[in-house]
Amino acid sequence: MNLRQRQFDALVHAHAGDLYRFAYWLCGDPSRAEDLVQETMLRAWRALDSLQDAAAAKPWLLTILRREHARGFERKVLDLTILDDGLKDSIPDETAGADPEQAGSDAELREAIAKLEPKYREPLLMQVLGGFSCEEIAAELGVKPGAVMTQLFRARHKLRKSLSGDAVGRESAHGVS
Amino acid sequence: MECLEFRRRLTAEPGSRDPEFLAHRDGCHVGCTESWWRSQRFERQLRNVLQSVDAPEDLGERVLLAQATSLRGRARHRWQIGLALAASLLVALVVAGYAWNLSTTDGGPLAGMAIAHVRSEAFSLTMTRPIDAAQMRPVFAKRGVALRDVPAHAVFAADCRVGPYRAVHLVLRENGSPITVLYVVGHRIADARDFSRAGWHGREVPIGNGTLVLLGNGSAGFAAAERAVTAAVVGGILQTEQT
Repeated sequence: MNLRQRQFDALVHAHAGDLYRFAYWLCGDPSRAEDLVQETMLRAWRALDSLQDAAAAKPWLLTILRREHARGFERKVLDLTILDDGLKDSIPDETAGADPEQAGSDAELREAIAKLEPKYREPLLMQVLGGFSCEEIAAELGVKPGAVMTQLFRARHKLRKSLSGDAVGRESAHGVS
Repeated sequence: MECLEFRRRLTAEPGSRDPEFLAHRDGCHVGCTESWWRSQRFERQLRNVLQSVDAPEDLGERVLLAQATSLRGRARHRWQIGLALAASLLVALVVAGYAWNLSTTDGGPLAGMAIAHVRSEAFSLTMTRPIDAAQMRPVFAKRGVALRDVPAHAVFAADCRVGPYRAVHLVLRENGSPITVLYVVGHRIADARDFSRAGWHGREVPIGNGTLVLLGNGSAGFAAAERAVTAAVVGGILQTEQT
């Protein structure tokens, strides 16, 4: 096996899971999420020589995936409302056996994430799952960093509001808006 | 940094390591520290929820399988393109070769024998002094031909053998360039044709019961030479040949 193939294998094994989760929360469809990972990895293989820094691998892959998803978004813009509805229905129930109060809170949060509009959900995913800074998100989305800050602020504000009895949500809503 | 800015920043970028942001967190006495801790708990929960989605167990293997399949497909596609190109090239070569053969036929065996004969008597091409009818008629007579006329511009005439055939060997020189005319007796080709071989240009023309073979550096004077020799020979060919 040559070095390039070894590098690719390592990339797949290290990041396929993260890519899948990112894709899943972007599109809300497990099958589409897997397709996105496949397409992303094939593009990554073709462009592998441009990856010089192992530490940059994950954001690099997430960027490819996000653009791949954006292309699909452009093609199927009319289907997205269906996808968003589908996201709510396809949220995995990971709360079985957990603390009931925590489980309920997680379920609320999952549903709230699914309800977020894509313009709020996408930068949030890039920040939380991808580790992108506001400046990096702004560069990738083609908007100003201030706009990204606002989107992130509103995304979290909506999520916190959705959690019943969340003091921080109320605090944010009253203190900053 | 003021509390309002701190909390706005906290909600948008809770993981910020900005020194000013952290200094406010540690120094504020109106609840910002508590807000920061609540925010961190929320972030942990948010991260856990987002990461709670399990990827298919064999996703990595399926990705590698798709990649390997794609690579093989590309390799096969490249191979097919290469094969198609090679086949196209072969067809082009065959067509070009056929066309070249059509345009530059090397004539038949008689042409080869004629060239070999002229090479063996290359001195004939150096002759420049015109010969007269008295010198030429006996040569043709030996091959059974009573000339009706004498071809103009003849500088050489001899009875020769071209391969197995008896022939009259003429050299005509008009405008400086010699044209060899071999009248081959008893061997008639089916159709007239031009040829190029070994640097020679030639023409074979059936005439009577024999063949005229014209040879030269180019084919410029062939038409006139052919007309002159044909006019001299046709009608004068005898029924029996002398050896």
